[in-house]
Amino acid sequence: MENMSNFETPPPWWRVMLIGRNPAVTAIRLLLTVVLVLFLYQVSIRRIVVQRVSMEPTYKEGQKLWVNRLAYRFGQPLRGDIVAVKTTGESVLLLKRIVGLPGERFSIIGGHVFIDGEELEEPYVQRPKAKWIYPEIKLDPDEYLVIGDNREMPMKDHEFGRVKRERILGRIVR
Amino acid sequence: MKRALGRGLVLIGIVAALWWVRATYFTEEARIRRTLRSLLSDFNFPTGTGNIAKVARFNHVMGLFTDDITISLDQVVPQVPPLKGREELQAAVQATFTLLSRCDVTLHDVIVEPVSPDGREARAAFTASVATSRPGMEFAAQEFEVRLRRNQEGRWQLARVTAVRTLKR
Repeated sequence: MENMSNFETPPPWWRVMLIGRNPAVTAIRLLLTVVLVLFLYQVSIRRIVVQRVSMEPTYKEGQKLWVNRLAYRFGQPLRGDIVAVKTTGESVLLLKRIVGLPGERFSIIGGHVFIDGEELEEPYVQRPKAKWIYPEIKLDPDEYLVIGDNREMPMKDHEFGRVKRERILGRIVR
Repeated sequence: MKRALGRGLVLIGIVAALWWVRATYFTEEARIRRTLRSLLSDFNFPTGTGNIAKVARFNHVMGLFTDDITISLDQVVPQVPPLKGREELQAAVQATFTLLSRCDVTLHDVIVEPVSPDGREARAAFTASVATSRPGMEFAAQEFEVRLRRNQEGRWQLARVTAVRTLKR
């Protein structure tokens, strides 16, 4: 009888399923997992909600998207990429498409975008283009030209222009 | 050993708390942030705010700017001349408070950095979102750069406000 009392009774199976054999170890594992997930979320992706209409019809107001913050860690942004641009921080981001790359000449004539003097094909612009006019500029070595897909709206109401590479947070995940 | 460890942890906690209190309340950066928060709270008023309350806000707002204040919006709204001096600002703020029955301003990502080595001038940058009772007098995200000066009493005042384009044209 005395020998029997030396054996610990095993915890019930449901407790093992829920919190493991050693609750302290399980708690530490859980904490580490939460910290790791939060860290990965912070450095790799960002959830955004579209406001306003400058990217219509590609993205509509209220649509929820993800930004891949690691997209340009080992590469450069490409023409056609939809990117999130930082303002003074990351709380408010601008959602735009890259049309001009560093060093290129950019202009808009009658709503048509010209890169280095040649008209750019823009299959993503599905609505009729308003007659925007923008004189030719040359982009700096670290500058991109970003613009929304909604060219139907008046040019004065549409936020577009040059942005430094450091302001591009990441690419939108489709 | 355990007691020493406990004391060490308590000491680290106290030092961290003191550091946090100092950084939050007693640095020049904290004072500048308080000035901006104060400005923000004056410009935030819900529908139904009475005229007396608006006058009180108006008087407080005016004390947050220097006499030679300059506000430039021309980068964002072309052909709008800069607003110069206290009198022009007074007229503009008065008009804003009269026109609007509701104003909701939010500042995001405020950056503060000293400019002059004597610590009397500083620069701040932030993104503002504004929603008002009047269509057309609102925006989702507008960057601003602000120059601040510390006056004789040690209070920070806004000396220059410039609306900045995020995407340069």
